[in-house]
Amino acid sequence: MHDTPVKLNHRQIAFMLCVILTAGGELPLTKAIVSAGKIDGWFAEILPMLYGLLIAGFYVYLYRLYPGQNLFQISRSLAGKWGGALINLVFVTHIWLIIVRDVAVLSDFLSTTLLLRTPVEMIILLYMCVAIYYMNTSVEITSRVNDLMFPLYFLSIVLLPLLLSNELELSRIEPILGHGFAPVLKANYLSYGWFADIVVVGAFFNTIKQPRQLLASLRFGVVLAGFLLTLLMLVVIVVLGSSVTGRLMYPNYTLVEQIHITDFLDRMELMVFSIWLPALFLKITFIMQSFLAGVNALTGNSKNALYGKQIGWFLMLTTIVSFQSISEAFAFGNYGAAVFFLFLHLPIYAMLLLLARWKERKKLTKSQQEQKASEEPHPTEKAQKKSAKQKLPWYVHTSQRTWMWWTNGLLLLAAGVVLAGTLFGDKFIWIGWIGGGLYAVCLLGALFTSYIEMRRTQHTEAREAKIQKADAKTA
Amino acid sequence: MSHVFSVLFVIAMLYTLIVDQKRINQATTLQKGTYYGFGLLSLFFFIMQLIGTELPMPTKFVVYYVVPLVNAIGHFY
Repeated sequence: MHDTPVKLNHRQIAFMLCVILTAGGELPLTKAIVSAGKIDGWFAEILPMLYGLLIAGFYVYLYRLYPGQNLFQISRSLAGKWGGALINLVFVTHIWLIIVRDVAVLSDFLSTTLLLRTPVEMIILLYMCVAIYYMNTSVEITSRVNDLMFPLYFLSIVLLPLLLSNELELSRIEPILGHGFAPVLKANYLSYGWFADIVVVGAFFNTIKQPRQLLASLRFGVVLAGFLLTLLMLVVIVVLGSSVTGRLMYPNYTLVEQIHITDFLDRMELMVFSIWLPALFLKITFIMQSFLAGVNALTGNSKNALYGKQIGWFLMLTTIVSFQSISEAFAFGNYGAAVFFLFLHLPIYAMLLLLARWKERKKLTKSQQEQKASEEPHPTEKAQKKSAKQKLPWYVHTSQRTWMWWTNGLLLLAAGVVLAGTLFGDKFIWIGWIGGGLYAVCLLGALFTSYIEMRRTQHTEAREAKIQKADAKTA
Repeated sequence: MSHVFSVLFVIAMLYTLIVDQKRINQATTLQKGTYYGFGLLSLFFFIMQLIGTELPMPTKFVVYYVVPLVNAIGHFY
């Protein structure tokens, strides 16, 4: 339908990634993580976050080599026609399974909590009708809707501790990190599978122009997702306790049911779910558009409208036949996803990295090296930049790379704190409290620095565009 | 699977085929194959579900064979 190139900005990419990583995980993941990690389930996002940052770096490395191409096209360029098709087929299959999992969970949640007398098939059919409409347009439309929804979604999670302040019981997370390393590791493993959904964003690389902007957006999206999931998990454990959460099918639903603002403002869960469900809907739509992009890349098609409807019906039918019961969908989503990552994604990423390194070496001829040298800023240019620096906002005085290392350092410190806490937390209760506090501070710090990274690149891009405009005018 | 759903699905498939006819005529052979392939697969899944035959979906393979393995490793650990 849209022949004009689709363009997304850094904020849209970050919000998209955050919704993809958090929205689906809220329903089935909480129960599984708390069952595995018990009261330390809120430390479940640290390793997946580090993995997310690593994969973001890897994706941007590929994008730098093949600018203007998405992950499917890059795979084709790197591994050739048939090899690329095989790799893309694996990615598309994984994305298909993600959709099946999410639609199954969403439809079951709706039919068991909100629409009790509506058949599941009808819920899926109605959902697919709307999703097909979005698939026939472009990711730009979905991103704009997400732009409207995301602030509400973010606030609905961030304000949960405040809304549930009368139900918070901090003793429910004690002793912090007092059960050793195994429960934390198990909880992190479960979270890993959900962070493997990052592959979905691969379909939308070509919507952003600058690789550094893409890197900053992906990094902020990953850290924001980790922060929101950690906060949600912490509130669930503090309000409901680990044993109750482990037994409930949808602990988040029960959690928001606990919100009672005075005697007359009851049933707040309907309000909260009117924000969370559209977010989940947007997540599935993004994934469906990614699936469509994969099929388009496999068949050399450029128009979304060709396959949109047919793929929608295919996904609807496969969702209906894929699981006998919702517990199967839960088991698949929580335990199967990480297996996909370990046995399919990891070897493919390693292969793509090797191929990219090989092609990069081949590409980097002497003339290019000379060109690189000539691109070094002239001393007078340097002086001009230095004088311009004084008028810039405070965060611009530090380079993007420095901010990036701050984020990495804070997250590594958080991982170290968890490790140290699990080693000594069972002996001294105060070590657990210090570890938990430090972990929270590191996470907040990483969220701040990753946001500044994004602002920093935005500022640089704006400045470069201004200079280019001025140059064009003088020319 | 309810009868209403079955009727709606058949109407949706027919509507899709009619609406997409113009685009399909302009598509390449591979694209036509993919388009009809998805349609036939949907129809196949629909008929199997209507008959009540359980299909060996990849999700079931993961649930029945991989998940117990992961759980066993977890318990062992």
